[in-house]
Amino acid sequence: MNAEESDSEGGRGEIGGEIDPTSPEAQRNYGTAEVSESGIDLSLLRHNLRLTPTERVEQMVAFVRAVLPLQGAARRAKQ
Amino acid sequence: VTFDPTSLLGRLVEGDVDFVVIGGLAATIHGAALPTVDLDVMYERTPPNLERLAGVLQRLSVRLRDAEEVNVEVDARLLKAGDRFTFTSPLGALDIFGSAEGALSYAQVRRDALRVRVGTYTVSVASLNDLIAMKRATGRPKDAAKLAELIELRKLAEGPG
Repeated sequence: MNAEESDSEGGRGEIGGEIDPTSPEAQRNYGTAEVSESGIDLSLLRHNLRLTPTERVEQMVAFVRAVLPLQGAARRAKQ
Repeated sequence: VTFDPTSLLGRLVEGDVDFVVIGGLAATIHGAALPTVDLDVMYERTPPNLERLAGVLQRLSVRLRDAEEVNVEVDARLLKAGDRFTFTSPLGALDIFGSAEGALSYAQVRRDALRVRVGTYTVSVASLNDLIAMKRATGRPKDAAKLAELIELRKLAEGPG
């Protein structure tokens, strides 16, 4: 255990007896986003990896079909 | 907005085109979350494959993107004269690349590719390593998030340790 970890009260994601919501422990327990150092939502990637390649494509296409018309409408509203 | 990548892939498979899926859809197939609105494929540039690819493009009634009003006959001769083409089609945008950023040859990308079932078709999809090399080579700021996502996917695929 390094100095930083030994300084945290309770350890394993707890601060003063409460769960630190940014800790990996809390993220595992409560399903909050786990973000990599580069800012990538790892929980989203893990979710995708549980899907088949076909499901990944279908999910992405459904998203594009839902969002792009909204983006187009927003652009037209700004003009 | 029309984007039906599975059907586009099907047309290429049924046309017996030698190709590898690259770009955003390849990243999606590997598990990436960032969406894409076009299908990017790398294709073999042998004369028979150019003929087959041109046939598929003609049957798809593709138009050159951003020059849709221009009547261009998309045949093997046109494909031979260029390397990269961006098309629109009734099934969505389709970009074809004879070569890739990062000086990756088609033979290398094809050799490293995974065979993946998408819908009812089995297609070759560029490996994570090759996709990362391509994204790194572009150096475009807009690709930074996509590159970071591919790197995280590779870490997840490699597992802990």
